[in-house]
Amino acid sequence: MIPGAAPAPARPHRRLAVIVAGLFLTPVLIASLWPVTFDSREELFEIPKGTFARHMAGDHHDLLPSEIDLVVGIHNVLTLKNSDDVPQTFGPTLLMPGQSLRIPFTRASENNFNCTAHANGQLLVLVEDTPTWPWERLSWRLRRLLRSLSPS
Amino acid sequence: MKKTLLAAALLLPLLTLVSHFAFKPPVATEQGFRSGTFEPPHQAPAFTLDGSGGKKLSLHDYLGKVVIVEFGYTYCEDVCPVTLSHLTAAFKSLGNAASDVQLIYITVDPARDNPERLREHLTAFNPGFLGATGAPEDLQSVLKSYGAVARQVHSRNPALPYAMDHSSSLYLVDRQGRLRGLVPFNTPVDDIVHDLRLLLTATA
Repeated sequence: MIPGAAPAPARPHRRLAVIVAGLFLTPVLIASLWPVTFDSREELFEIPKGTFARHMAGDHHDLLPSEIDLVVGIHNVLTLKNSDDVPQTFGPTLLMPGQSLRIPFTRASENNFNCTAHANGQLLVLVEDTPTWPWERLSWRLRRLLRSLSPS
Repeated sequence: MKKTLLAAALLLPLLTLVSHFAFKPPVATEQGFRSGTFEPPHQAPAFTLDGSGGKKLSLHDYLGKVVIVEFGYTYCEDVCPVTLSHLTAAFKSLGNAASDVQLIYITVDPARDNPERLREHLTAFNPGFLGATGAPEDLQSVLKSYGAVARQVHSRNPALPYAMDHSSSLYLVDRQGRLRGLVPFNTPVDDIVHDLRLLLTATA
């Protein structure tokens, strides 16, 4: 700098770039470093009372999601409760009215179950390994976000 | 600016390692059954079929024992051999307690599985294993009552005219004849043994 000269003005585009990068990187960093947690190991789904009657009446709107995502070790128990008035098939078994089936999944797997509570008769239970590395957590959160945004 | 970048370059790997090791979730263990469990348990659907022992075989005859109900067929090339091998290992692991456990293997292929064939096939795994067959409509009724399914499909083995696509889970029935557990295909032997022991020691 020449003595006596006025200081060079701050480059506004650089400052803006830093702000934009910060806004983008902060959530990415948090999503990568923050551990994946759940309030409970259990995911409960209930076949509501009247499901069979509604199907018989021509209402084929699914009350349960067609895909259920679980994570080994921290959110790995699927409990399905049949609150309907008639037996419902879930996977390879019949659930009587008022009965529930609790299945712990201990390994990453993709499980296709027959399910009479679904219009297409199918339920996918996707069990993933616990994401522990930052890139795994980021990828897991992104996939979950995309799934929640996509129409089922 | 350079200092900030350098600090970030040093901090990031550190944060990565800390977040991986410090926040690793503890391995969850199942206190109760490791397989699927029914709550409340209901009586297991009853059946009477032609047993591989040459007599009629009823589920009711095995009250007082823990019963494993399996649906399969002797020409099965993928699912049944794995499950039967796991069960053979599980029975060995149970030792003397295995005498209180009965496997009933119900065929989904009555056209090819007669009692003699079932006996020969199952004896190769464990002489105590029992098979059951019957009229197609009777077997279909049993399948339906358990929520199981079976259908004829094209066989990948040219030597076989067809194969059967069938439910691969095991059904656990307690000493009181109640359907208690659902063991998915390829469950580790240790988990099967764990659940059988729970049923064997359960009081009521």
